[in-house]
Amino acid sequence: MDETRPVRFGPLIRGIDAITLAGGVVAAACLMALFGLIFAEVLARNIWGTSLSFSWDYAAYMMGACFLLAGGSALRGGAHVRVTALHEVVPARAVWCMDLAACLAGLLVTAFILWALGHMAWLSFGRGTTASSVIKTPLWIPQLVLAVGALIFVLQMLAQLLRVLRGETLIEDPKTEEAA
Amino acid sequence: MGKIGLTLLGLLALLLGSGVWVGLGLIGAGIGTLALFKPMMPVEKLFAQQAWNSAVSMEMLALPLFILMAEILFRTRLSEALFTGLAPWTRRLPGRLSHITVLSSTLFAAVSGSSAATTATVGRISASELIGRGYDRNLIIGSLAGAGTLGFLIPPSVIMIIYGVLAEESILKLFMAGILPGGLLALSYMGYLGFRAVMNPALVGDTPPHTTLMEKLAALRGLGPVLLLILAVIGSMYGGIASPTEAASVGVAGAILVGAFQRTLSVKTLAEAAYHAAQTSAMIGLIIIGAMFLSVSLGYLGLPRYIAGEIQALGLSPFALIVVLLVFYVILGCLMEGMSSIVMTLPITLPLVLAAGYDKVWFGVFLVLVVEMAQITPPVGFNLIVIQRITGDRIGTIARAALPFFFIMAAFALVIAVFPGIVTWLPDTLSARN
Amino acid sequence: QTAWDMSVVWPEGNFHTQDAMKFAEAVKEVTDGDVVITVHSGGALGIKGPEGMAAVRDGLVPIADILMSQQVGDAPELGVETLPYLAPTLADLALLHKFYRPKVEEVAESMNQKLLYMVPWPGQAVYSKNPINTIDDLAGLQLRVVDANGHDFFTRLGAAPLQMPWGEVVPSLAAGTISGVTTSSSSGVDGAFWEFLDNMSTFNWQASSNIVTVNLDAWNELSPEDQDAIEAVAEKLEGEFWLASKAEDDKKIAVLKENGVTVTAPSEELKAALLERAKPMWDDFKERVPGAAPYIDAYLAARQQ
Ligand code: NA
Ligand code: NA
Repeated sequence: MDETRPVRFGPLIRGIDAITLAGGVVAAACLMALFGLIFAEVLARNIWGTSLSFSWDYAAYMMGACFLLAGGSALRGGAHVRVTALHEVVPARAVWCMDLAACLAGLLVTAFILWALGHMAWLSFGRGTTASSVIKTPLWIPQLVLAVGALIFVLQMLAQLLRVLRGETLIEDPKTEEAA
Repeated sequence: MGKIGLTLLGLLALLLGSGVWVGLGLIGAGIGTLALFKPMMPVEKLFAQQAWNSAVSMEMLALPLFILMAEILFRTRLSEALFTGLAPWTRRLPGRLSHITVLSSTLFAAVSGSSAATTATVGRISASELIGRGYDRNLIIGSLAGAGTLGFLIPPSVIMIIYGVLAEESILKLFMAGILPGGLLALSYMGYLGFRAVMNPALVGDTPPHTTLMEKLAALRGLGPVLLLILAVIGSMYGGIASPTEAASVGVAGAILVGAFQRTLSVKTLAEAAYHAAQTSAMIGLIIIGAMFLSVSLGYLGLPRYIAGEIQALGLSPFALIVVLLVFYVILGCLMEGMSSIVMTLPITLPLVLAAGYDKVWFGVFLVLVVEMAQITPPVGFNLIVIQRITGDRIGTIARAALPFFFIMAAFALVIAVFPGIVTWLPDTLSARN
Repeated sequence: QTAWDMSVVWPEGNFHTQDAMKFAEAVKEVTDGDVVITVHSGGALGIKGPEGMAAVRDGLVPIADILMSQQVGDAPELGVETLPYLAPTLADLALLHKFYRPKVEEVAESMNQKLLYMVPWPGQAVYSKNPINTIDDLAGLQLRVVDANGHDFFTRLGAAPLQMPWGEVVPSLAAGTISGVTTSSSSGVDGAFWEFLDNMSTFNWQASSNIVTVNLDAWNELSPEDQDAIEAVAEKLEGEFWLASKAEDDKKIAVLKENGVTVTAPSEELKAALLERAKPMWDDFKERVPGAAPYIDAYLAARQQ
């Protein structure tokens, strides 16, 4: 692509990338918390002979938060897998069209995910649904975290779409991000 | 029914073929098919429920933990030490260090209940090291894909627990029944690797230099931390300290300790490991959500049940039935997550198989094999996706590299159909003693 | 013709699933094939236990078999049965239902569904390595429980109750990571507990029932004749299912004994001690869920007489 072309959508994409990075960092913290909760249960049982009644529940919520909050950062880093067999046999212009179509479809589906998860959290809030286990956590709280993750995912998908629109190709190799 | 199946396949081909991210493509295909054929279904509620259930499923907690453990170990000098320590011992072995993938998968399968976790951990530690040492990329990737599936066959196993609950069979018996087939399958993989290496020596890395016995023993010292870690994880589980998922957290703690002890792990590298592991988990999580949603959508549309019913109507001989079921589950396994395909079809297939004279425990192991094959068939093949993340190869390339191992598994499934004793001997012998 | 998918989370061979199939068959018969119910066992429709009522409410499935006590996240009033020793025998439970059933119907209706029938599980036993003769035998016992009442009750008894997904339980029992489980005789047989634990004490400390509810929108689409016929057959079968539940308990306990499990009933002293620890939990519950208090009180008053 033409190097001298002005970088369109620059501020918007940079803003989204910052939010995406924050999501990824929080997701990493959730993953460490997941580990901490489960390991604490092992220690509590074996050292103090008691069980932490919240460890499994909260570890599971942490996993859900990790999955969704890192969704955008995984997309940004090229970690989300896609089938690119066709990309290698068609001309560059067609690759661009396919990437555009993939981003549009991705935007639709991630928007659906956001709507569905947000609606679920909203219903749980309105109905006052709690977990049915020992710790009666109001379910809208972890569900809202998932919805926030979905929102970051939608935003990053939009950023990907804008990148394609300004002529960039989608990141394919996870290794390139890792060096950064 | 045919129309539903074709629509679904068409949607999947369109979405995945044009390069939509796999998890999103599965969700999109599910939405489209439900909207067309089950218009009254509140799709967004169904999806939210499935996404929520998959994302916070306690059965899956070990997966992100093992991914985290592997990312931490990857940042220590552990894998290098492992291979340096073992290399001199494999001088005369056809296939040399390539067997490490199979052996460590087998060992790791005894700790982890899932194939994806086994593949992720072993792959992260061994794949780049082996490829860097001059081993053939396709051979390593293929053997990793194949051997990683042992996670379900060798106990503990999430699939066997689900099957045991559904079929009302002793889970302990199922666990015992998986040991011998798991070992034989691992040996078959090693046999294949050895055969390929003999036929084409260029596939394996350079011959390690000649070393004396003392040098060999000295090299083994590097294995100490690995052995301690494995002992800690296995010991915590079989020694009554931790449940299988909790053992994964012991593994993470052990990996942090190893890194701290070697002074290769800082707070910064630990944070990097967690960040990277979170991304990998998110990627797998999205695909699991998509696969579960698509599977459940198919269940509401009645497709798996319908086909299983058609097979029932064929009135096949016992062996023909097993062959047809093998084909059926392989096709189902391309599209569906393995566990769901079992849950949805078992009420029909289990009575069929029992009536054909096969044993309940035997069918459990057969189904585990079939689910393992589904792990390495595209587009929904979790092992392929995990490896894609590790090596950066394309799904198609990985699937092709895994194909020989797919055939080994298919052949093995037929072998146990002819010789069911391979499966039933150990549990029968052990439970007879009680 | 109306076709309903029915979600059941229990395996095909479980007696609740078998009941659901008998019900489906009877419905087809009494409606002359107008209403055909397909039973999906093993949670094949992706609906987990605690989501049963929400799934029927949201129209994911028109009809489902639901473990009532798992719905406390949506409606705390549905936790009444599972209070320790509130209704330890089937006769007690039947009496409780006499007062409590209208409340269950009311809750169901508030969630856009209609209660068709309810069937109890066999009582909850305690499976353990060592026999439990006195309350001291429970001290520090690492016992797997499934709900808040179980956690609370066994904490009061000096045990160390813990929560753990079912998939972790069998490997943990095999390795000795946990030393006991509280569940029904059915689940004890399903899990082949004799492989790990030698003793089963029929505490029967907790009752619980499954309910079968149908989405009101789906229900209202049926003709009045079909509705009457289904209600009648549900009532008739409910009686049979209760008897089957009792028979199920006897049958499963026999299987446990056959496999070498020592089955004992708690002594009178132990029973009294257990009841003494349980009673304060009733009051706690009534305070926390005032909507359920009148039903508990009416039942207890009737039982006194
Ligand atoms: Na395993
Ligand atoms: Na597959």
